[in-house]
Amino acid sequence: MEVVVNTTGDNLSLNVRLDFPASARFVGLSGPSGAGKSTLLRCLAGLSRAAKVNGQWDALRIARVRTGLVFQDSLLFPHLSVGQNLLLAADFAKQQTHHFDEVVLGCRCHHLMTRMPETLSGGEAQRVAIARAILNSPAILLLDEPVSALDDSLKHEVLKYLATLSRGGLKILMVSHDLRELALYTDYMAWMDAGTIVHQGPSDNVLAELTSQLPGFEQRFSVFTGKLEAHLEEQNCYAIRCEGQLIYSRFPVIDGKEAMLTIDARDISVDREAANASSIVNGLESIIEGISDSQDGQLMLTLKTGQTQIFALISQLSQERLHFKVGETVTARFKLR
Amino acid sequence: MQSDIDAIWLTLKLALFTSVLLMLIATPLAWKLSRWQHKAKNLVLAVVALPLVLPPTVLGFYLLVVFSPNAVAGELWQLITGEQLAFSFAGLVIGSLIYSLPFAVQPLYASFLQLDNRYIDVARTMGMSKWSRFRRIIMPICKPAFMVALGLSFAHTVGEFGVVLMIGGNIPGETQVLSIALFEHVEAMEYGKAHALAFGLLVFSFLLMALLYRYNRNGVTAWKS
Repeated sequence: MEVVVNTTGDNLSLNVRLDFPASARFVGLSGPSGAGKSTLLRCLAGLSRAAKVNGQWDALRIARVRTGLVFQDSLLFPHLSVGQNLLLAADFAKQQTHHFDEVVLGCRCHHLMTRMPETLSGGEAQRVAIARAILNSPAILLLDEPVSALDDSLKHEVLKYLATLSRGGLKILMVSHDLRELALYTDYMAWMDAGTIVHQGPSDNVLAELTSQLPGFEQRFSVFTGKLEAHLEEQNCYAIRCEGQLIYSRFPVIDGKEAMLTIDARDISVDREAANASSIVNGLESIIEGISDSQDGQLMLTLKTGQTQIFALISQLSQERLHFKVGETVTARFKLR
Repeated sequence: MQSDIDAIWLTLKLALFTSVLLMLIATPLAWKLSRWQHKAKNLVLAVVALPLVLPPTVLGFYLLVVFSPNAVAGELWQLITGEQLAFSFAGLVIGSLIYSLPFAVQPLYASFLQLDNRYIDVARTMGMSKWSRFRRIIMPICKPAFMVALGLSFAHTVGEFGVVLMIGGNIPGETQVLSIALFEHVEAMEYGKAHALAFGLLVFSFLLMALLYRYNRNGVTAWKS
């Protein structure tokens, strides 16, 4: 995939070159506010007359194909019910590539069909807007912060559904401020600033680059990947074997037998007790690799277990009390969520 | 009595012709104006709004001049239809179109200005044609404004007096509308007949306005977002 977009607006000129392998299906886009992310999506959707858009995404000429765009605001047509909004989109699809009921179910809007848009909550409206865009059968789906109004469990359900669609052939470009979200679901990622792409590549690499290069930018979360061991229905969670140890989560990203989850550095605690000596279910034995100052007088501990890096943010007070040292073996804990 | 019924019938016919034609003219005009960014826009808006403040007799006088067989427009009309434009029903319709134009354009213009452009963007990405976008998105969302524009231009045409008197005169069955019939009764000191017409107009106008306000309130509250 190679796409070049050039446009000059009132206060921002865009000079973007997106360069990904043809295999890229789910691409993330992030960057500070005002970087031009939404403008880029508008250009790609063909809504900016002044913009020059050239390039292909896996043999699809960007300027030629049907592109769906989901705005930050859901923008459901106010005079139509949810069901009518969805049917209208399906009516104008060139061909039906998705089963209506499946999309409705996948976006969790099956119970909203007769409701009018003004009666929906922000999260419900966003889900309907995503479903509407998918039912229009675009070749490329552009999403601008599509799940920002959803609560955690729904957010992951919708993102999982989008990931499924992308594996089925739909190309997705998603803007998000939440790097964890992007790291979890996208295979490629671009970081945009002041109208240009600063970093792009496989999502993990981009995250690593961002961590090392951008001043003041910190890796604030850890990514755990492993084999899905079991779905514990009674406890309402999944068991994942990560680096030989079991961890549990309610909303891991599941891709076949693989599972993945991310944990914010603020949510990880470190202690010297054994892994099973706490009410906190998840405890990973790991080694301290580094201790560095972080903002607000806190310390960032970099831990390692096997190949997995773990980041834990602890307070100065804890360090004065416990005196963690590099090379020490500790337990990194985080709650089952 | 018969002439009064003729006048009522003629007035309704004139108002219907005028308001329906006005919707066809005012809709694209209001749309263009709402999307137009040019220095001359204020001038065009002022021209459209002119009949709001201009004495109807002034408008009527200039229309009469233009309609005269000696003027280009009047001559052309006579050449095509074989009839003269002044003192004819067709002349009345043209006069009414201009006279009531702001009442049709203003509500539509305001509504189109308020319309979130991104609804149209969404419709465009969905592959909807211009006409589909207008019929299935813009028109239903702006429906209250269309109803107000239609109602106001109808009511305003029904109440027309000065312009009609200037360009239509007072020909029963051809150009004698309600307000002029009423004026005639007063001139002839037939206060009973005048009262019947005047009161009828009063009730009609009141009912129409009440209906419009009620509809508009519902229209606004139903779609607040």
